[in-house]
Amino acid sequence: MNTAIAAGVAEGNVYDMEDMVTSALAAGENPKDLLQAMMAGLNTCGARFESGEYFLPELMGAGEAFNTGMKVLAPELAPGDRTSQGTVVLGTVRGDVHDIGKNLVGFMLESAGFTVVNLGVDVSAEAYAQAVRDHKPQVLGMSGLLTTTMLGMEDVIEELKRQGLRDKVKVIIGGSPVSKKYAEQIGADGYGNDAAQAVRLVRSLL
Amino acid sequence: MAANMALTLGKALLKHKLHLGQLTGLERFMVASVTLADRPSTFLAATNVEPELVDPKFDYVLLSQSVEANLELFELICQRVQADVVAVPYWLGLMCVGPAELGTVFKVEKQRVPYAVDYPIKKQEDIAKIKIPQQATGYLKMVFDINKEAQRRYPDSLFMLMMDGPWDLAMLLRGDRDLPTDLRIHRDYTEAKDQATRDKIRRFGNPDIYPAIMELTTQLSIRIIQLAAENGLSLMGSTVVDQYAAKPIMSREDYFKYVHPYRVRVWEALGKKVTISYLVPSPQETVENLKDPVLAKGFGVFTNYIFPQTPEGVTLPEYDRPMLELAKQYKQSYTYLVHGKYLRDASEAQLDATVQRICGLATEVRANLMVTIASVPPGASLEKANYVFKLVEKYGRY
Repeated sequence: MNTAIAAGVAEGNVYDMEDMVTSALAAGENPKDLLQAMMAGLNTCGARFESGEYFLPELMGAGEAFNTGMKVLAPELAPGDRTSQGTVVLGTVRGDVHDIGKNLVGFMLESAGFTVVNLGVDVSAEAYAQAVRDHKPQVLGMSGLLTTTMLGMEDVIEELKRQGLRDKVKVIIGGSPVSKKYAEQIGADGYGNDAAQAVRLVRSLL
Repeated sequence: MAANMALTLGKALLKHKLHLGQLTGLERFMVASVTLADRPSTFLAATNVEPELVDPKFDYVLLSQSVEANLELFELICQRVQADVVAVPYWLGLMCVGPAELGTVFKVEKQRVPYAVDYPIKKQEDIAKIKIPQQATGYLKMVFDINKEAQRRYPDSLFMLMMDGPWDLAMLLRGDRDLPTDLRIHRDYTEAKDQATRDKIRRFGNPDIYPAIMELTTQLSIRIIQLAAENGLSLMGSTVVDQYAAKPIMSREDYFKYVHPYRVRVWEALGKKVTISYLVPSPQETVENLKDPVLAKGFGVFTNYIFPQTPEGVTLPEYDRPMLELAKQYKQSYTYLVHGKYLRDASEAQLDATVQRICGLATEVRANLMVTIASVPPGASLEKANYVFKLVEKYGRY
């Protein structure tokens, strides 16, 4: 594995990543191996976040370094080189514009090899349902930071039922006001206390 | 105002020491700042109660338009809750700290606290467009008016001003996606070992925008608090809050290098009259804060606000004794928040056990404790909040 590229992603070296990947490709390294190195870098960053060594700017840096490298690498990858552990659709519920926690969850899932479709913030029940149709995820994750907006999570589950999609996707919820009790109450499949738990939760559901 | 408070404190101390009757809520609160009171104190920030739980006629649209509606709602909460101190008498979300007048766009809906949807600083040139206000206007003026009137109507209460510091204000003017990136690019540039690396960093981002924003928000933070004083508010007990400059948003190292110096400037510019709180996730880091002359005082020093919680929303119990022992050592109160989701989800028996445990610990350690409720959300009730306060009375005799 190209340990320099793995370390570059883990340390958020956005600035050298393009050159590093270009050089590695020019030297004849296998694109699939380079992708694995970049994924390993994300994974390291996620582990450092979980252990309290890294924080939000470091995670954002690693994500940006990964994306910078992928711009060079993506055209070189063969079909099948990019394997995924599964697809997760994420969004913050309607009326809520808090982004940070959801993005942390997205980062942790991506670093563990999941494909993440991030719908952003203030997402309507209809938009969640449409994303389930479009992306066919194994898991749908909803985030909410406010005790008032989290009530919209139930609406999303109802919308999934109404459109006949509820049994096609596992639903998880998170955010500081959310609890296991609330998850059970609204019929969600799981609840995460923090971003670090998200990967374990998603894996346990698949 | 300061003289009145000093007099109240003196009277309260005499009353407490000579056992001349029961302390009032404010007296207990003030005694606890000096010595062990008769029981743990209780505190409720009224703004953390969802308005519709008090009376459905109150919604956030009405509350963002009417000073009197805020005061009326505050009055109802004071009547129905038996906390020693009820404060923060307005429901304006983060509009209360001034960003709406500086260009941040807030969405105001009936059922949801106003929230920011667009930010005025998109690029560096936008920074210069934001002017330091000469006088309070809009929602900021409204907050000052509400506070002033509440102080007039309730002279025996305590209205501490809590205003955003440079980092939190920057989050509201730049947005919570861009500011952490600005910080990272600035940090990488500042700490780069050579010019070639610095040149490379410049190709990917602007390392100058972070200090430019923080310079602006430092001046704004100072000015907004000055405006509060100019509008007749007391700065006693006031706090400059930068709650998003804490973990897991940023490391302690980054905080001290890239945020704290700006906050110290605010503190010094205001004659060291306000406190500068820095939230930490453990008693060990509280000890570190206590070594810092700027961070060692104020509301945020001894609190479980961002301590790790159980899935049910209770601070991990093993954190409480060390915090109480520290509070005793430093003659301050441990502010114990009952988190909103625990208030909502827990049964009365569970709340009873939690309050009994924390009050029992406080009486055993003989440390001042202040029990407060982080929020009263939908699904909970004012009565349930009041139940917690009554439990403190029941279990909290020193």
